[in-house]
Amino acid sequence: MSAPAPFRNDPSLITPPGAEEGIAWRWTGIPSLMAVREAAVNARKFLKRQGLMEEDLNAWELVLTEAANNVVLHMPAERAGDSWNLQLIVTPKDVTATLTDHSPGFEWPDKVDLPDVDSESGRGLYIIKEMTSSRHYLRGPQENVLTLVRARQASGRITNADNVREPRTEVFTAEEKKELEATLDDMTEELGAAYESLSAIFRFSSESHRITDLSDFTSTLLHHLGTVTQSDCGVIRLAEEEGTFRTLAVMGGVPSPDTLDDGDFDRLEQAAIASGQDQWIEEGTLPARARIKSGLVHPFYEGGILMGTVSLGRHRLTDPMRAGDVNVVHTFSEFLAQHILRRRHEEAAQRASAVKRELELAASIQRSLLPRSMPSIPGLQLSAHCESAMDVGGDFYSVLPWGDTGVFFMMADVMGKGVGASMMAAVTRSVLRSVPQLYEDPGLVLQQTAKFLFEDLDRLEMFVTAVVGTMDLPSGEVRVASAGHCPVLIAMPDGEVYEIPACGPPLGLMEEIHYPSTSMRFPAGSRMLVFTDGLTDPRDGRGAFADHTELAHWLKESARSAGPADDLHEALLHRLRLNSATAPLADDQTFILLHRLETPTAP
Amino acid sequence: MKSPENVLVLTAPSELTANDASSLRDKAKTRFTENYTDINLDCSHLGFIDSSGLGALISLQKLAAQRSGTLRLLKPQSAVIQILELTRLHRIFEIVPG
Repeated sequence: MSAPAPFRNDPSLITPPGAEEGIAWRWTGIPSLMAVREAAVNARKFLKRQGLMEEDLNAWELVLTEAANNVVLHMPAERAGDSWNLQLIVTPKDVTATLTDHSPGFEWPDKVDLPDVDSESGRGLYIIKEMTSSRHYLRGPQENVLTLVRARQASGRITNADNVREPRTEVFTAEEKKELEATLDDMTEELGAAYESLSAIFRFSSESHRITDLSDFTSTLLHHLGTVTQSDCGVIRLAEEEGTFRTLAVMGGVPSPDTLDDGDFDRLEQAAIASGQDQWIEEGTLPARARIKSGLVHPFYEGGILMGTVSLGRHRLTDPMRAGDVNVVHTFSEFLAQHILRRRHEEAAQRASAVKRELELAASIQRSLLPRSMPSIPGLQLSAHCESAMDVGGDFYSVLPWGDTGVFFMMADVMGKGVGASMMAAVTRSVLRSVPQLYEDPGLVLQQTAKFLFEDLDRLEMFVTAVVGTMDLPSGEVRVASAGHCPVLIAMPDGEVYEIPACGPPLGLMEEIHYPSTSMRFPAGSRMLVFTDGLTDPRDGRGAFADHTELAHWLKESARSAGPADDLHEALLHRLRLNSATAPLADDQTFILLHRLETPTAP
Repeated sequence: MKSPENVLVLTAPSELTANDASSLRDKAKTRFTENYTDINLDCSHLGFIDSSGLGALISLQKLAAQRSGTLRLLKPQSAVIQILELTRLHRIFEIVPG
């Protein structure tokens, strides 16, 4: 912009023909933006001296700036020296501004609307239209004349300009007092509105601590929001997974997608979500039966993620919501979003803690099922191992003294994981231990257990594989019965390995079933391995052993190379851990090793 | 409110008109370096804004929107809020009252 523009200001007051009561003021300037500002500021000063209200002064400063900017912007460069004139005439009722210029001018549109919200220009004429009572634009070959009239605010009154141009004294004139009072009234009203918003937020905050249900919480919030924004109806909807919405709270019936069946509300809501911006409801936006004259649909986000929408409508007020109202809507929405997030975190934490408690309970049940020590039987080396995948499982084993010279062993694997499997393992163990009179015939034990457990297992749609058996040292015989369990492996002193396979289906499939027992010689130096399928059959990846055959081969080689008193326990654990070191266990790994020593150990 | 390091803070002059709109626009473009997403425009001294000034605010809003950010108008005076409301632009900008 150039140096100070050479204004030719004519401050003399003239009375135009036919305006006896008016006071006029004229300005002549060059077409530059700086001159426009000078003109507008001086016009404002003149109007202020005439006792116009603050709102009128603001309006005229803006209207004159917009109108004169138009002149400057339409002026071709070759006519930059042409002057333009501004004349103001103030009467008790209104102010008339006449702007004369020599630019080529422009077409004044029939209809002046706001441009798109993201347009950076095109609001000048709209501002002029909204802030004046009437507008006339005469576009001529030599000059253009724009005449603007604006009615004065009621309390403004024409004054003697000469009087108010006297040096200011401490005493306010009656008009200045009125203006001051009006300003104070405005400020009080604004403060009141702000206080109303703040106190509503505080009231709601204090109430919200007592509300535990999210729906109640949201209803209360919506109710408060409605009061503050003078809304008659509203709805708050929560965004859920897969783009669906759940209505959390409704006030006054509409706007609700349930009552506006033609999808007008849905359309607004979708537009709000698609653009991420508030959608404003004006008269005619929604069908007449919705009775909504103004309002808005506000999408709210947290961390960039859509949380929901808040929609409010007014039946009586046609004015769009003011900035203060919009602020309250935004603040409440943020508050709601925070509340929802906190609630979700709490729920997730509760769920995690419930799962953890269940796992702890299940693990503790399972630990209680396992023997703390092995019976001590002269001539028999006994060891066992049970390692659970994912904290808990359904494997268990027991080795009980049987008479003075033998043992009764049991091993079971309940299909499933968690507390259910652990509970069922406990039940199965109790049943198996409740029939010692049948231990002599392991097949009968399984038959009886199958009968006891059938109803429960069938109802729970679970099943249990189990193997039970006896070993008696004096007779040197093992008797085994297996309900769908992995084979029992027996390595003879000569290194030959035998498998005793299952002799019937798992427990829980049939109520009445006969399990035949298998008997085998178990001479001194023999070893027996009872195990669950965790050793050979992990759910994913490769197990420690590919199959029973590989495990049988390992037993054969290990038994052959081991000394007569060597325990295979550590060797087997080592082999299992080699393969599970890189990944967590996929299934419980449980085994019992029985070794009949060559020479009976002294008791 | 995002952390301050994402926010470019600018101060609006006492008047934002066709005279000074491009100056604010240029200043924002120069200073809105890659580390910023949001713009806070302190409007507490802004006493007068015209349609060209509104255009400058929209260009600032577009700058921020390109980085998924926001333009916040801090403490605008009531006269300025009235113009924003008249032109419906208070729906576009986030207005933080004083």
